[in-house]
Amino acid sequence: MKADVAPAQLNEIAEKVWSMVLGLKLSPVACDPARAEARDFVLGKVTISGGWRGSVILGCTPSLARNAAAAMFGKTPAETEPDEIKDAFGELTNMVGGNFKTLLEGDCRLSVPNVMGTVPYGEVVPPPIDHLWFECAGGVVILSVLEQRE
Amino acid sequence: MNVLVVDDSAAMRKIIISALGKTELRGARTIEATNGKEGLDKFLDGNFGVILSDWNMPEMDGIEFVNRVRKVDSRVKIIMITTEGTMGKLESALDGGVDEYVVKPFTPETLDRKIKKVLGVKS
Repeated sequence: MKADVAPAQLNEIAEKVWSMVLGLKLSPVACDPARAEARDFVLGKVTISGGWRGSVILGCTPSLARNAAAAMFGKTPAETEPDEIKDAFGELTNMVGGNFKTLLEGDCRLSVPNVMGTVPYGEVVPPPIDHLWFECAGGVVILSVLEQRE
Repeated sequence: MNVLVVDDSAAMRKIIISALGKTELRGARTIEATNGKEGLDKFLDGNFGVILSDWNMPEMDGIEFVNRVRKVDSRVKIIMITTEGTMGKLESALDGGVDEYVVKPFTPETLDRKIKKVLGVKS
């Protein structure tokens, strides 16, 4: 089964999660690898199995990930610990992945989120150019859905 | 009233507890657990009126946790807070002993509406 999910639906999910959880506005932008702050990404991933198999990958520039975690924990960015950034970004990934899953047909299961930490731009899989890009509070958020094929 | 908050994400527990302060349960004592197994241990050791539980957790997921709670307590009110928005799955959760569900992300107003519903409080 193919996931017939339009980019607009993914945009809507990402924007809803960031707005409701963080109170931040995500604005879709064109992929721009030249952006200085986009050299590294904190990456989170959830895997979906069952009727549809694949994964949802959410990425975020490190300073924005720290700010997001600070907002979720009610702390200042400077007070926020690496484990808290990992936890918070995992939950954001879980929410985006879980909301994507509701668009799929058939019985699907969502894994617990896996946060891979900070990954250099050139090592992001799939490549950042294949993600949806968003601008948010001076940082960048990327999102992609990767269908697993036999 | 004691409220048990079960979620593997510390950030989410923080958000849930913060939201509780804007609901019918403001001022309630909250106890946290990081998965269903820990939640079950704390539930058996305490006296809880409401449980707010995630679905997708390691060790023991929310559905198994609810099933085990319901084997020993049919009265505690259980609200599942989950990204699981598929109607079929939510209906099976309700059949399995969940009283209400809240889909993440949520607003404090939504949580309050669900809490009032399970407690039988008129809005």
